[in-house]
Amino acid sequence: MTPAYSFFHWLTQTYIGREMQGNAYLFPTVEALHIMGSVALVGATSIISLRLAGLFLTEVPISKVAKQFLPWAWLGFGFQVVTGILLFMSEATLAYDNAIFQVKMALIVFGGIVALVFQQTVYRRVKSWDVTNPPFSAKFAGYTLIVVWFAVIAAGRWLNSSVANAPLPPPP
Amino acid sequence: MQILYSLCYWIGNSPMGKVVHDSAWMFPVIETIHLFGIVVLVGAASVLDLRLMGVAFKDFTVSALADRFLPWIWAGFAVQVVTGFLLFASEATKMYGSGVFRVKMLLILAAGINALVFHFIGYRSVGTWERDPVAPLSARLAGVLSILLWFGIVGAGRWIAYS
Repeated sequence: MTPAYSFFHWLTQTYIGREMQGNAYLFPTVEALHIMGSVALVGATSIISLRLAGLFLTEVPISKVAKQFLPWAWLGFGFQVVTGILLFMSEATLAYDNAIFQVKMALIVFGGIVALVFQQTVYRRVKSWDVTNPPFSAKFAGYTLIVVWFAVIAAGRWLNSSVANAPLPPPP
Repeated sequence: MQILYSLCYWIGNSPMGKVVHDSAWMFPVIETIHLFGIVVLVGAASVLDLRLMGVAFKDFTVSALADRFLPWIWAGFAVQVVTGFLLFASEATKMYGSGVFRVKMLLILAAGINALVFHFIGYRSVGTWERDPVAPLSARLAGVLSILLWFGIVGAGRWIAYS
């Protein structure tokens, strides 16, 4: 057994992991909460991204849009991490070796890197383009983040059916 | 409700219902678009609701937010109606027997009535209070009801898959 698989297996055997599997109402409830959280996270980031792309709320300074909606994006992100980990703990061994799960995680990391790089570079000079047409790099970040976050939702939907249809894999 | 069942049977056996039902990829693809639509519809509606409730976005006037976000609410709603109807058509007779599906439809109806009542009664005087950080009770009430109903609809939607 690889250390990762052992860890994933251990997660499924924890109290939380077992409760998530054993309680018929818990998994769908957490899943519903995870969908609700996507509204806060992807909704808020989309509003900021559309503003960066110059497609929405163009009469409002970018810094004001960010100030109003970033807290909701972070709140949604925290909520998604918690509910996502709970879902993961119930079927961690099924997610092991699951290509769609890996794609979803890679997309989230990629989205985080794009946001971080943008924030540390282009956004530092936001005052010079706050109320005018955003520079190409800002538009690029905006378009990229919208595509990435909606792709994360699609990957999540696909993960659901791939895990549901997967036979229990033997430990490697 | 013989007539309702006949209608569901007819939709389920229509070419449209059969195409989605028989295809291996159409249902999950439409369901994914339905999830995208949630973000647009419920996301945009929540922004307005939170402003009406006096919880967030107080730097914006209510009418400015309504101007900007209502088109997204309507666009999202249209996507949800089309994709939702296709999903329904693929398993219409099954949905006839689903209590959760009925609850979801009633919640959507309630959300629509709430929005309509607010639009024609509470919102008419928006000019007199839209700069106030806290809206009148009727507006706050409409906001709370709306956000609870929409998230309830999302929850009910997830539950349909398990019912």
